[in-house]
Amino acid sequence: MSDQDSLTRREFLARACAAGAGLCFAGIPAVECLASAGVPSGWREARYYKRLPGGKVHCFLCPCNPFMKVCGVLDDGETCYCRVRTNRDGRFYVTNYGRACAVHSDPVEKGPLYHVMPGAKVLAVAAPGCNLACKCCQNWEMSQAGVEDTHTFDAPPRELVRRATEAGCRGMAFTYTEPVIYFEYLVDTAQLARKQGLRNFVSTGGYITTEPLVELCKYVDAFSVSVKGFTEGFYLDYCRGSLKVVQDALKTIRAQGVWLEIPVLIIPTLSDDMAQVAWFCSWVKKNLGADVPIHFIRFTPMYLLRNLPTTPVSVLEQARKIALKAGLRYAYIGNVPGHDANNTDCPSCGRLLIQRIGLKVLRNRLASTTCPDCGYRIPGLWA
Amino acid sequence: MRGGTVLLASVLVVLVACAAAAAPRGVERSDVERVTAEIRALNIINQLNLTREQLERILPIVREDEAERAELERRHDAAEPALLAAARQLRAELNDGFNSKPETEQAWGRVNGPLLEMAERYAQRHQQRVAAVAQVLTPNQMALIAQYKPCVVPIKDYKDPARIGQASATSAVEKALERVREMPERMFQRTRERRQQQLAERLHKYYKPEEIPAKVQEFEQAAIQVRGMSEVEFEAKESQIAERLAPPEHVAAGRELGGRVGAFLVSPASLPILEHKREVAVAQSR
Repeated sequence: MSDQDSLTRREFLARACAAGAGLCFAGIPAVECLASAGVPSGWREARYYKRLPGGKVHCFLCPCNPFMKVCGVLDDGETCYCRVRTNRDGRFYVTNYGRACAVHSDPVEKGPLYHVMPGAKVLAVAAPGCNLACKCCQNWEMSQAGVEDTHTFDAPPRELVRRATEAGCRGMAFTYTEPVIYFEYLVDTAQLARKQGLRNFVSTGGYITTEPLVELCKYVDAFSVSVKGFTEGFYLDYCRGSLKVVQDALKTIRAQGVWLEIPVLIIPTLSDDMAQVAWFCSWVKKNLGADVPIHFIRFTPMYLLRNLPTTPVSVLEQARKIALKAGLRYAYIGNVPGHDANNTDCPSCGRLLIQRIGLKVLRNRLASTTCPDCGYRIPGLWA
Repeated sequence: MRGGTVLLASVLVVLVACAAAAAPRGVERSDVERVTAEIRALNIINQLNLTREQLERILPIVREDEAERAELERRHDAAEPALLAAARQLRAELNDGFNSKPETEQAWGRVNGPLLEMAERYAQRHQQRVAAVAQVLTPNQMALIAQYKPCVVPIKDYKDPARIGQASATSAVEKALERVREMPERMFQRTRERRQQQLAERLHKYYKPEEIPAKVQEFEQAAIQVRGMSEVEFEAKESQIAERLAPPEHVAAGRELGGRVGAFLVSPASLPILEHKREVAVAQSR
């Protein structure tokens, strides 16, 4: 796989022609040879799709999207709304395989993942595209773009893992855009990373069908699934998605036993209704358990929602109180650096366990998985 | 046709006259400066998200400072005629000859001396108040003040690298590294001296003169290193290299941080903003 990544266009064409000639001699029709040779480098055949008659394909990686003309079915030459999965001659290809648009060394807390190896460095990777269209997206230049619309560069899985090890990172974080739409690239990289002793973390919108998600759970150590709002109407109007799908994904991840944290964006006037917050917190407790950390994230005017103000800290504090009252043990406030709710306290004795300012860990008293004062077990991936 | 033109012209004259009459009168440049100063303070105070407790600790300090500053200004205004008379006398005498008369100098000193002493006392107490306000702020709020670029129209889509899920922002050093990577070899060689000179001038703000040549060399080595990197290697290491090269934050911030806290939080511009913020915080907590 990585050999092909390093081919020049000339070498690729030469090999394709040679292969084509060989296949022609073997009696394969010339048309099919040309079709396979015509696939641009960096494309990979996608997974989780079915070939349909008439050159059509049916993608079932992402769930039905209400904005598609026929759900998941794409004509020859058509590209999906995620901008990176395309039907070429009746075969379905992913166009951003090994094409990263961002590679950074970040703290794991940026996920946000507060119960995972506090203070650890991870190599954060993103490829362009997204299967949602959130109007509040903070990385919209990359997520609402295809490979040709944004700056990308060759970053094959092996190279990423090598760089992560070199930089002293303890894991790979697939983040910034939507990792689901580069499923194949993610899985290949995650498998290699595991072999090198690295952990894999995914920050996602949770817009994925059950089958590929179950497969993903085999390679991922922790998920951060972002919830953007609390109603179907909100998801439809502001994200072009569905809350039900995200709820199903949350349940699947939990059922697979993979560590899960939920960042919840609180947007003034759109998702700051405390009755809805209370409903969602009760849902989390009932379906996922009281140990799943929830992060109330402060909204900053961005992209297509610049008309709205920043979320007042008091609203986030109110949401956090509701979460704790609903019985959730770990409720945080995100994007308000210096706030006490950045810290992890023991739910049993109330003592401070991990002190943070924003994404920085100032103090970590959690030497093992239990509170050093009362011995209460704190769930998470601590080592 | 001609009548129509005359009518149009007269309507235009009337409109222009009305517009001129409606234009605000007595708006002085100082008013604009005052309001824009308030906006510059507002843009950072909004980012600080001061809690009600913080506001209640900061406000008395700022009020006290403002009262003393206003008193100093009032005394200065009251003394102005005497100050002006003494200064004119002094100027006239110096105009006529090399030296001024001792009694004129004493007259100047009698008026100016107390004002000067008062101003010095105020400056000293102002510094103490700024330090007291800085004590109330969290390290992160101080970091925000240190990073803030004063602006009237806030920056849109600001990329804060410390924001959850935000793809990293590009710092000035990272941008410089990107530029140097893209430079053709010939240009890189040709502009070496000029680049180093410009860099040395910039580094004067942060380092002692004797430290600068070594720092310039460090930048040059980094430039050569990043030019030889593959894109993915550069992307993965960029922020680390930039972090290593950037002047230490406490040094960069320390030289002007006190001044910044003073300018944005302990100033006439900040007082009405802080009062308003407190009113909102009190109303919200009810």
